[in-house]
Amino acid sequence: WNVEQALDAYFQSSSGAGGSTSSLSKIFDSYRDAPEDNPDGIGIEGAMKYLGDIKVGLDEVACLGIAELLKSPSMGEFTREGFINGWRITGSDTLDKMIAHAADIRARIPIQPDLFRRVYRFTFPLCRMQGQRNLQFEIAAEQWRLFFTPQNGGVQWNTESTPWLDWWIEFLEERGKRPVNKDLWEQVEVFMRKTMEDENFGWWSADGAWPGALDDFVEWVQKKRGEDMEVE
Amino acid sequence: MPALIPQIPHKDDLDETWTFLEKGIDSVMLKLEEGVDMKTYMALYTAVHNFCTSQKAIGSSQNIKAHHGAHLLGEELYKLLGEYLSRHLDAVYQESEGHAEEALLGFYIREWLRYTTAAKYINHLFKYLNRHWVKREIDEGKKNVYDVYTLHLVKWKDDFFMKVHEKVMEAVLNLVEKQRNGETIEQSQIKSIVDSFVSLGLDESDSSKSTLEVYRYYFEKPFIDATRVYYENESRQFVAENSVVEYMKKAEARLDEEKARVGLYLHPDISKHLTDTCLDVLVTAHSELLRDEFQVLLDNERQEDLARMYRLLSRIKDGLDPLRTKFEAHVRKAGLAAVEKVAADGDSFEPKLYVDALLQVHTRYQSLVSEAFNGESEFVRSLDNACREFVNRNKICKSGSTKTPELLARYTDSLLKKGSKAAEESELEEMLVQIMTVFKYIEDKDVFQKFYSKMLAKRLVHVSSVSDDAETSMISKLKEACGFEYTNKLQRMFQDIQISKDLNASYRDWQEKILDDDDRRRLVDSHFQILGTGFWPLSAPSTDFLAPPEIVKTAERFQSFYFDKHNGRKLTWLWQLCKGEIKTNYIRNTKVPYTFQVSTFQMGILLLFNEHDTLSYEEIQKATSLAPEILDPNLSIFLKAKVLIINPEGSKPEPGTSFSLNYNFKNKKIKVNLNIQIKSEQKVESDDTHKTIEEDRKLLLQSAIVRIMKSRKKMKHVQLVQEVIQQVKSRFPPKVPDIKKNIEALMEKDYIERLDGDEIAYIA
Repeated sequence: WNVEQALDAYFQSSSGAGGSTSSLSKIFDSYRDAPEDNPDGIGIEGAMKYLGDIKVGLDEVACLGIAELLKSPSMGEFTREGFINGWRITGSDTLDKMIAHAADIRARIPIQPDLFRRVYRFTFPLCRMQGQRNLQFEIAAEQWRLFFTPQNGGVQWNTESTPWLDWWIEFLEERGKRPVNKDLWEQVEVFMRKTMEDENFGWWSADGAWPGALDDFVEWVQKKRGEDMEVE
Repeated sequence: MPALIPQIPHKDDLDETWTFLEKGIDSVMLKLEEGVDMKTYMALYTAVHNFCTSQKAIGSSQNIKAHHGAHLLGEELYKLLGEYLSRHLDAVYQESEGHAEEALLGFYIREWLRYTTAAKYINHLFKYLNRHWVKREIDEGKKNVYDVYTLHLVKWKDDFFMKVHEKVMEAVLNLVEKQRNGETIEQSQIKSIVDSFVSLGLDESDSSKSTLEVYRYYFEKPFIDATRVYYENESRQFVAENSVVEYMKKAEARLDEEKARVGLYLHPDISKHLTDTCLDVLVTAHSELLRDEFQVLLDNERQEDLARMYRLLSRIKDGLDPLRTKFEAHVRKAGLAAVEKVAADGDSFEPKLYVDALLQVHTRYQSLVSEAFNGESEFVRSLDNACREFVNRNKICKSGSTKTPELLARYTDSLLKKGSKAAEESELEEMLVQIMTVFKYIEDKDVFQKFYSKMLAKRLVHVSSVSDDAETSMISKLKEACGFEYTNKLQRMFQDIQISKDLNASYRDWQEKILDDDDRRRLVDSHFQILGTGFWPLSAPSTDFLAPPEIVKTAERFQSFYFDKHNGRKLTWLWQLCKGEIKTNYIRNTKVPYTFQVSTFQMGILLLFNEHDTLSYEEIQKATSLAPEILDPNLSIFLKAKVLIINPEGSKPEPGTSFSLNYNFKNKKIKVNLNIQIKSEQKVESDDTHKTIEEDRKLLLQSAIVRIMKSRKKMKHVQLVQEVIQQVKSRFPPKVPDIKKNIEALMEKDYIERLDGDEIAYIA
């Protein structure tokens, strides 16, 4: 596990690491879909109910934040181990504390780049279809829209001068909606931060380490900007 | 006779002693040529000795203070001697006023000689003073006290030289100018002046050593200045009135002349300074002018003048750099123009024409580099750069740099194939060497390898090599240039052929033993080649083929022999490469039956007519199982050669037609070659080769990346890219985006992963 994450959790929780395992186990038990078949897992229905109870929407980044905290094996599933470990670190052993912590995560994701990156990267394996190495384009695009707009708790990537997010998705659509591999997924977020530092690509070079798709995107953006200038 | 012995003065009396000494010194100084007799000389020497050893000197001796308990006398004598010398030199100076120019030089040299000769004697007379009083003064660190000889030099310098050096130098410089203008002068005079100036250089801290300070300041400096002015004027004027080519001759002559001047009468110390000055004025100052002429000389191939320009500019700092740039551009242009000429007649030129054009340009400028530019390594590099440019990027390779290696391989093939015109072996070898010259410049060496191995395979399989020696020679040249790996497969192919020869011999022995008479009668004369799948650029036939029974039998017999020897191997028959000869016993109007040289496919078709005179297209296709793209063109060949006749007449081979044997076949030759390569095959082959090159490059890049990452474990992305370029550039010039693409592909395959900060890590 992650030292950074542990420290993070330590400072967030008033009582330090701790929280009662038995009360957490009890909460976990109450949301299981099929206690007989799957005694240590919460399935999709239980998960939806649980998220509702801790006041987390399914369509917001904070939901992925909770999935990351509890190490969900896939979308809408929790394991006992992940659930108890996750909450214990944060010291949340009642629903009320969980609601409070979820609200805290919601508030921090857009303003703490480290946490944002952690949640963003966790999303890749979470959203991958079973048995697949890469993320389907449609799913990736949906997640980018979630992460890179402020409406549901992400950060804003479209700017006055450049609709980065829209262009990025338009660019990939033009290229044939190819599946997104892990490296590209992760580098897009790094790329996003870079473009927010300098929208004119001062940091970019053709010999850099960016995945080819991003190199091509830079070229595409530059060309598009040139065209826009001509139109004006 | 005591009367003749000079009266030695009283040893305590300074005045008496000096009066006695002055008279003697005077005669040494002024009348040495009259001689000084031994006794007088001894008396003088004794007088100095006595005075210096007297306990109590009168005169000014009261002022002398004892030093360190040892009381040494001599200061008065030293002082008086100095005053005497000043007086003498003043008189010399007065007399010098009456001389100028060469007369002054003569006077100076005469006086200098007289003075320095006398100084040696006087120094000897005052030996006792030198040894004791002077020595102690110097030991105690007294300034301005010298041994008596040096005192002479110091006095000369201070009391005479300082007053006349300007006038003397003026005379010297006028003389030199006369010589530069072509007059004859008395060089030894200048030499003597130089020697005198050099002698006057005394080391302040140690008078026994000499320095060149005086010479440098009073001779060298004005000499250099005058030289600069002289050549500034001369070169300015010369350039205005003459061509650059003429000027270069002049400048070179002047540089040689000045170099010789140092040896004739100057001190070697001036050599570097003088040369630098001349170069500065004669070359550097006009370097722009020279360089501007470079292109003109290149265009007119003025080798000698180019060599002269090289010699001149090579001697100044950064003098050649602009020439190299121009030279490189010039060679590239020449190369491009030569290629353009070849391309002017369309795409159907002979590879030889193209390669010759490239070579011609290279040869011309290589000889220029070695003749005119002294084979200088930077020019060689410029030549290489230019050649690499026009070899890989020109009109003919417009579509991509893979055209040159393909054409070069084709040209090589045409030389190594039987029937080439280069009959002489030495001539062939020479041509192979030239091919390597072009090869060296090729960036896509992998493309050459691909085409070369394809064509080598054909030469070997069809036994059409002009000679094994030539093949081996070419392979070893490639190996030398690119390493073992590059030629590994080529060598293995060669070996396979060798092994196959032995194999056929033992097969024949084996056959002798097992065949019965019946077999022997039906025996088909056969030869087999076993080619290792991994080494040969060959693939299984693209069509099904039912071989004729005669051949199947032979093939099976060989197979059983082979599997006996090598259990577990798999043999694939490459029917498309097989061929044979069949005899025509059916044609009546010839005494000697015709022999047809045919491919195995053709054999399959023709042998069907042993049983029938006429066969339909469908019957032939069924019996041979050949695909229409192979069957149709082969039938066409038979029709064209009139071996078969089609029905209905004039139609093309296709379902519905039928074919009959032409019993009235006629040909001028007894042996008729029907095994002609089909055009479409050739084109497909070339396209296939290009396609496999792309695949191979991807593999090469990925294996390089994995290899590097495996040994480094972790490295920066940029570095990895650089290293990959290093590793593969001897095969082809990789493009950065291609490398990146393959890095990404390997990430996806989990061979490597990206860490923070653009670092790549190897996943074990």
